[in-house]
Amino acid sequence: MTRLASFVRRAALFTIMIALLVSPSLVARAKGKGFKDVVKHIETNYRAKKTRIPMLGFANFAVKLIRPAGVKGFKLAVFEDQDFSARPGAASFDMVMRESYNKDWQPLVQINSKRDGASHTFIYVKSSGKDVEFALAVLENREAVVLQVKFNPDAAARFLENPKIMGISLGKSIRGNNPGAVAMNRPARRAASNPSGNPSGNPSGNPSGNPSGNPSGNPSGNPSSNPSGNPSSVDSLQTTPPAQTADAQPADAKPRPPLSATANDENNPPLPGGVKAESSSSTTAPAITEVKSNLPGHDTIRIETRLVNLNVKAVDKAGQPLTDLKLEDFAIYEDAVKQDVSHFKPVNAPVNVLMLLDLSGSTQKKRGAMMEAARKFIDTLPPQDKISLVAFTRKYRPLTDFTTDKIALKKEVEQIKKIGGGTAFYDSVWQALDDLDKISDARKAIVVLTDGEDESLIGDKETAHTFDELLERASEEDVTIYPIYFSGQNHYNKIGLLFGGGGSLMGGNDNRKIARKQLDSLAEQTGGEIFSAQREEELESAYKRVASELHTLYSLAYSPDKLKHNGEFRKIGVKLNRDGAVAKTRRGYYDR
Amino acid sequence: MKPIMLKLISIALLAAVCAAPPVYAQNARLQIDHLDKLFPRAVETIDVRVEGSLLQVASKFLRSDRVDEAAVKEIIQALKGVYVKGVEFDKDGEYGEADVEAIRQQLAAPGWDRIVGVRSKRGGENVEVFLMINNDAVIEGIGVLISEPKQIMVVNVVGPLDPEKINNLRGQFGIPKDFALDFGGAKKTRRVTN
Repeated sequence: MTRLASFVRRAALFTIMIALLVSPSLVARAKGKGFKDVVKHIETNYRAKKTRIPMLGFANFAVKLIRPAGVKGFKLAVFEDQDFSARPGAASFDMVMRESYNKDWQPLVQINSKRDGASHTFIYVKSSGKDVEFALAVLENREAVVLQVKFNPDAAARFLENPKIMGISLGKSIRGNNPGAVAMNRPARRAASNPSGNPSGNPSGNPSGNPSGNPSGNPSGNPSSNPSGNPSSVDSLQTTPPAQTADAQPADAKPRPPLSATANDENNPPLPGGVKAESSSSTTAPAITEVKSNLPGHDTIRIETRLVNLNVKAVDKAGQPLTDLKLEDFAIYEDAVKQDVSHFKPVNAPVNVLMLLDLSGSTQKKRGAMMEAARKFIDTLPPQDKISLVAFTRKYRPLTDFTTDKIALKKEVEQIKKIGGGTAFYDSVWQALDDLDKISDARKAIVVLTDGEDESLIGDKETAHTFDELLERASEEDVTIYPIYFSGQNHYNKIGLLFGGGGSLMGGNDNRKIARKQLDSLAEQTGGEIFSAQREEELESAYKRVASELHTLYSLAYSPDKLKHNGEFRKIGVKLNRDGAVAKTRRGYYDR
Repeated sequence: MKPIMLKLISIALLAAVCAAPPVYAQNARLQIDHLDKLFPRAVETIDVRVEGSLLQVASKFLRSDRVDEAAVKEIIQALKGVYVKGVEFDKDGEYGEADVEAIRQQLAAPGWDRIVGVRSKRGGENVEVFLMINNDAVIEGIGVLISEPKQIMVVNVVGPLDPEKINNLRGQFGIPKDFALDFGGAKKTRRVTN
């Protein structure tokens, strides 16, 4: 009898499992048609096809069996890259939602927008005993998602406190110790891995007090590879740099690009003895130049020079840009010692502009305005300026090389429609600096349109470079950064701000503040300026201001007279020969 | 509307309660469904409706044994609902004065006190914040009415919201550490000693 009962139990269990596998949405079908009706409406009205998600059925079965985080079942339909513009005569999506979720369901949030095509977001909830069912439907221009989840709030709360699945712990409490401090804790966590010890959330981290992020890890530019340390020493050409000494930098310091400087034809000073430079690395610090020698017994001469490039903005007493200055109007000081200015370019000289566009999910609805503003910005820049268009999400996505072909650039702007994802802001700006290092001209700028919230601030995503590292590097480069802070205030933000939040329930506003401060610091440390666009309509004017700002920059360069390669920070100051005039440029560089 | 203005309003909303006289409890839920008729003409609409049962569910995610979370939990558990309706148009004149007046009339009823009124002739922005406070110095309801030439937004929080519990949130959620609500102190004290 016991064996029979056991067999019946097993058979029943097996049957249930098979049934669940065959029909992942069995439970929901029995209880209502909301999900099914909405999906059917999307498929019928828009002739859309669901994106196939591998193992979705299995995942659903596993969820029903394991019930992770109190979730008892879910249904998901995703439609990607299809046309969801409104069809004439078709039932409006909100009406479909109302009819599909009519019984027992409570509308929680309903948002409709006709901007940039149509978009709809609906959240409905339903109480079923101790459980809660939650339905989300989002219909946008090119994408749609319908999700229905059934979960037990008590179990979900327990999971948040002690994340465990099938008895396996997933780590400590997801909620953290102090909800109000979640956002502020994150930078501190990352700071623990930062050799500088400078909290990464601190946008004003002082690079001068932090030599640990030593860029001399870059073999090609490592000044310590020169035993003499003498800028004008003559010896045989070293093709392979010597091994780095242990005390040169901390073992965990990341390789960093060298200080920017140029040695291109235009900027390269004539060499003594009528010799001609053959090489030239566009950047750097110190530049090593191979020279055919006329000296007996020496085939090659190795000359170490460093050229410090500065992009300088000059303003009068009233803060208005001064655009008619000449070389003699400038005086450059390094650690209070006057330097000889060797190169000068006026404000109308061409600029290499890297246009960096944040295409994270938060900007999805604003793509139309972003594209329009980007095209106008391209048109506004003088024809000789070279522009490179780069998008970033979690990935850095160059769309064009540096070019003056505005037609091609504007055509490529179209591509940003299709791109979406996270926000690896720090790593993307780092990569942009890498790209600009390859440009020999000293006049370089990054114009980055972003809300600035690197995803490491929001979630637990790790970044290859912390903000401190980025800021330290940026402050040494001859690249001027102009962030356009696109906060995109809308109804969601307004409500959030009204209740002291802003974006997310806890900590969203703090993240925004940190992001904004970080953008401020990047602009300040590189001699640039931050512009703000709260609404899509303000984007064009922000770009216009950047365009005019770009051509208020003078480019100057000098060769420091005393190089010590001791890693110390060399402070740069620029004075102008005009009453009350002020010059703005980067703070200095590390003498490595 | 600028975020800073909204922040100021939220702070003013909390601070100005001190001056508001206690009144008898009324229905703090505003009737704002008539704005739905404007939805078809609007370029953006928002409709949020979070009521008791869902607030109870939300409160389950907060622990009672942590001081900071317990304060929020108590506030959320006591709330009866949060309602938001907003419409934004492409051009001026898409809504009539009657649409806003219908809400103002409700807020002019006994029990409601206007504590903040911001009127900008330049942008045509009007922001008004109303509170309903009962005899025990507890906030029964909050009403925020924002009207601009192209926009209407109404936020309605139906309490009770105990100012003492809000005081417990000092230092969190953007509430300054030295912030203190101390209105109707005599009544509160009497109630506690009883």
